[in-house]
Amino acid sequence: MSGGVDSSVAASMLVEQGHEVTGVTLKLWGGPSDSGCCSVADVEDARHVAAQLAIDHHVFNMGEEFEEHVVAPYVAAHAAGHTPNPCVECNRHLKFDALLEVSRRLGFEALATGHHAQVVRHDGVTELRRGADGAKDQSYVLSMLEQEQLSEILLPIGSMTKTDVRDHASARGLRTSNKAESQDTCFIESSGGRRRFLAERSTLHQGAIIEQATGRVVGSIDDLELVTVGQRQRLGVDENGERRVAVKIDIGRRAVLVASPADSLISEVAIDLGTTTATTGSLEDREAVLVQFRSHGEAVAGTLQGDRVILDTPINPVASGQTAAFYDPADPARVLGSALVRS
Amino acid sequence: MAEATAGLVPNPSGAHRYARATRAVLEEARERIAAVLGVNSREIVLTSGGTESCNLALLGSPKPTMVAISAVEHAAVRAGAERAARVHGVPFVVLPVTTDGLVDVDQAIAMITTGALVSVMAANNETGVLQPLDALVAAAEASGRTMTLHVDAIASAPTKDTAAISSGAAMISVAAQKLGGPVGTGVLVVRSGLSLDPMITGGGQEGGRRAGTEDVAGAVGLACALEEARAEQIAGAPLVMRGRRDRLESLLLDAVAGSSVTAQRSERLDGHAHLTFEGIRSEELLVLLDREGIAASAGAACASGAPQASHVLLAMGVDPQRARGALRMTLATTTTDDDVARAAAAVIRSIEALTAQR
Repeated sequence: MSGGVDSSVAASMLVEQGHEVTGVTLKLWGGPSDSGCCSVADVEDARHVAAQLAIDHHVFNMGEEFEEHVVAPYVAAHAAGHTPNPCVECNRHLKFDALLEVSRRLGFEALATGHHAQVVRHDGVTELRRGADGAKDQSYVLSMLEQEQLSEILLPIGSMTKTDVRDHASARGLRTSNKAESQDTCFIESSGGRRRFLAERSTLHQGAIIEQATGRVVGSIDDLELVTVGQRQRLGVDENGERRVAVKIDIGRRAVLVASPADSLISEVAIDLGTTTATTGSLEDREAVLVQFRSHGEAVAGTLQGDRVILDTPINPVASGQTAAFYDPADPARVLGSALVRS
Repeated sequence: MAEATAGLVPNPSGAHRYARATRAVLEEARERIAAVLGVNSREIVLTSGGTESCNLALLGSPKPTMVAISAVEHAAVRAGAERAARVHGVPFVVLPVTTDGLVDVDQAIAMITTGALVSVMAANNETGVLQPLDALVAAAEASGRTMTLHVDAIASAPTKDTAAISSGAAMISVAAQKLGGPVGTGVLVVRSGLSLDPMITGGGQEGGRRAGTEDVAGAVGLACALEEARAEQIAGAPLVMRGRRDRLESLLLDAVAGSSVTAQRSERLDGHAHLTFEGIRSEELLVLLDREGIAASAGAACASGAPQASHVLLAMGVDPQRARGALRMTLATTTTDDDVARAAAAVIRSIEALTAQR
């Protein structure tokens, strides 16, 4: 229970379904933050909702695990020119690994969260599917879950729209019914942003802006480690008046390679096979996929070939470190698995 | 409390007979508080609780040459001391403790300068370890260093005679809530001769040291709680409690491999049982104990309520992993042998459940 409306309603749904429910809030981050799963006020909200639902509530301190598995790798990945997704890593290592283990030790039968995604069980197999509310779907950040985890989790609000969720909360007078959503990385303050956070924990370098086609240096940027492949801001405009697009971060050369929007399009994406996960079975025999590279991006058609995803239609470049979430072309709401994008 | 203040007007500061009646109740309570604490009633400053008392002592004192506190002080002292040092632009010094949880008196004296404001608790709220206050005061005198000593006697007040163990202190903090009295009432003893600037200014109440209309009912509650605790101490209740505490600890030590009592060699508060368990996380143990209706504590929690490795244990050199498996249970005079047996059984059962599934 993060202190937001989604997990509040998830708990409420379970209580109404007759489960014996205990609320847990994870204390993940001790540093400054705006909101998310980290502030004292959010914990108070979660605790009060638990009281309204007449369920027990506990706060678990997983700050050390969060630092080790989410924050430190986030900083290291940026320093290496990648763009990691900390929400994916938090789900992978904290919520559905460390917390799931605690939940088992404490004798609980299932772990539920307020994610907008659905788990569907049939014939002894648990499928992961997109949430009913297309605009809020969070199956992307859960795409790394495998049978072992999926079989033990519940996603009670996955079949609801956000409007349904808020209506449920306000009908029951839950404190969080009209609370604003947290959108950004929970451990980064909006005031200073990624820049200040990374500058405090690593060294940001100036980088040359180099045209990929010609090798010509066309400018420079103060904070190379903050540039994301696909970015169009702060890289200037080319001779044709088009915004330059970052296509590669070369930390070794202290350079960002740029191209015109048309030249930047890619028709294949490399994935790190060591990071591949599958919701059921394996991805090895799978060829046709739908693949999504951003939390709320669009899934596009492609083919898995070894450590590459060949795309049917070219797309804007994808940053290394992002997650590729695979969906079933024959059943587009069904998650097949995931892998991290490599450069 | 209700009886003593029934029918009184709330504000004791008016010029009319009704206010005078309220004032009389307040001042009588003040005298009773002073009597238990062995001080003069003019030395009593009533506050909103332990945190305010500690803050007022540290922030209201005249500019010192340094602010020094023990490494195991409560956050109310630590934060107040850090702020006082910052406000006055003087050094903030942390006095180390030994592995037994005791302030190292020799080291402390070597670190303190004349004119220092020093805050050392009478007993630690987590481990229950009693600090060598008399030795510290004597050593400071012997070395010719004059210091202003504030003693946080909040944890010790229920089972120890505050007057006796804080005799060398210039200021003493006590909270009613720890004594079974009302939450939101505390006292700061300020020995005569010591000037104190108020943190809260206004009508000049409490001898100009703490403005605001006095909480008369709270003062009466504090007086009653102090008197009751003192009477229990004289009657020997803490010794009985200690026997039960020792029983609780030995039941756990015998049944749980890798368990140890914190600072077992030190003199500790009679009602405090503090143990660490190898390979156990406090927060998980607390969930299971909560299910069984046992109200225990990990000893330390951050503002969100999440247990964290205790600064007290870390200062004592306890391994950080081990510190994550701390459990503090406190007994009251009302705790029975059955309660102890039930608590021990619940802890043992919970630890078995947590380790069985590894």
